[in-house]
Amino acid sequence: MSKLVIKNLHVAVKGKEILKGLDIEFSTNETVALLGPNGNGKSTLLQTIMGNPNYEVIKGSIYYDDKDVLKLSTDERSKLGLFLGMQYPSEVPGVNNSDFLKAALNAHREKPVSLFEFYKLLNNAYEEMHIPFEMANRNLNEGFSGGEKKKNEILQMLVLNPDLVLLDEIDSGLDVDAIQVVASTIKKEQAKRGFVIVSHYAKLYELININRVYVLVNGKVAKVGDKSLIKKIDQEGYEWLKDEGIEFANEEKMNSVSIGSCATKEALKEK
Amino acid sequence: MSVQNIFVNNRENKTIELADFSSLNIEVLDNSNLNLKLVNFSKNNNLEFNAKVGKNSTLAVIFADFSDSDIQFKSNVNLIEEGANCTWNLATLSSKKSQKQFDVSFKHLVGSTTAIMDNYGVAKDESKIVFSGTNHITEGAKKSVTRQNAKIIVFDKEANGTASPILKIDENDVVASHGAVVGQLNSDHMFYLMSRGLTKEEARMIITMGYLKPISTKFSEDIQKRIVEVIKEAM
Repeated sequence: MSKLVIKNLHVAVKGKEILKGLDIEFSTNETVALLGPNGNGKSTLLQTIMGNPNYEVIKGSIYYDDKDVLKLSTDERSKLGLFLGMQYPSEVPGVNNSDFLKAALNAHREKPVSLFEFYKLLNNAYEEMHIPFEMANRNLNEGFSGGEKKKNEILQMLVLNPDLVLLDEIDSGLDVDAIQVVASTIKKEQAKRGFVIVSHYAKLYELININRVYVLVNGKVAKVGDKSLIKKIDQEGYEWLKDEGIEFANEEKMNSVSIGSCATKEALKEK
Repeated sequence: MSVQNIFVNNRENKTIELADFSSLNIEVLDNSNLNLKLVNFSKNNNLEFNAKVGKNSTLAVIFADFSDSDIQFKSNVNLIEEGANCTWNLATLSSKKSQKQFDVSFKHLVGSTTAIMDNYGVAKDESKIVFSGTNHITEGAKKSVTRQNAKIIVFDKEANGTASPILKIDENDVVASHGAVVGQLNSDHMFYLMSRGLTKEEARMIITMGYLKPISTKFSEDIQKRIVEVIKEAM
């Protein structure tokens, strides 16, 4: 078992401080749900762990066992066993999906994978994710629907076999059937690796095992609990945290909608 | 400078692959087709290309330049009879301190002629790429179609790319368009690829290969291999 230990982490995006002294720990044998209102640091935390250059670490430390993660480049973090399933996976023109997966897989191995072994691995992953195998020959995420992109992220996780998986709103853009596919894959994989899962929907959390729930507010951990915390937030939103004296970031943008209906309500409001 | 002549006429169809050249003189006449695949790995600084395309004939040019020296390239394609077509695809990779200029021009001398140009460039290190040229639809060349497309990715801070396609239209009832994009390497793409374990160099390599793919894949396997090697080395 490995541990990712984050201490007093301060991170700024475009000069604005988002994480304000965050302390949190993840391990490779549990699944953690990361909740919190929009703009309070969930994505920032995951992107910073993976080393996105747009996120500037001002202070603090991230250690993976005895390794100083902040000193490593993004590809080295991947080789360490970290994986980030992105909220908005990039479309990379002209880069063939299977060529890319092979290059990524070989980056994690000393000896290049044999054609037969690669084909088998790929075929299994596509089957597991209910994605037609022909998609392997399309360009990376190019012209994929929102749901296909998200399923493709989980597929990459299956191929690369990481120890700690960070999933940023992996369920947004998925239809009911696709959520079932993603959830059942995560559930199957929970025994093999750790997960940190950011979602606005109680649905995905209901379908998998959750060991712990963190609520991130204003760049810090505001609340730690078990699965019952998800239920409470789903029904009551985040407003009640204020009564406990917790201050929110982006006050003007705060919404009190429940996590289950947040996206739909927001979309309706915009109309 | 040695001049190479390639003449195709009288309903001929030909495909020619040429590695390294200095001056080319092309004629494609009378219902003929020529597929010309050019690749330049050499240190020739001055390259010239002149072509005439005649009645119901097509000249398709694919030109890949991977030399590491300075280049002055000038091409003129004249569409001299009705039904003359030219499609032009150019890919170039510049690195170190090389300066490369590609001047690619087309002249529609009669109506119902077509010229479609796509130029792609990747500028690395402190190098510079310039795409210029004029697509000219002359008076009387009605129903002509002309298009200029230029795209340059600038990889490094000190690298430079300029694309300035010019359209000159002296007739009505034609279709003409041009577009130019000069941009930096997409940092989101880099982060995405690196987050899957590819090093910076590997990520750059895979992006460049993808970007040049519309052109590189049209060559024979031998040349494709050489292209991969040259790009690898340049990264």
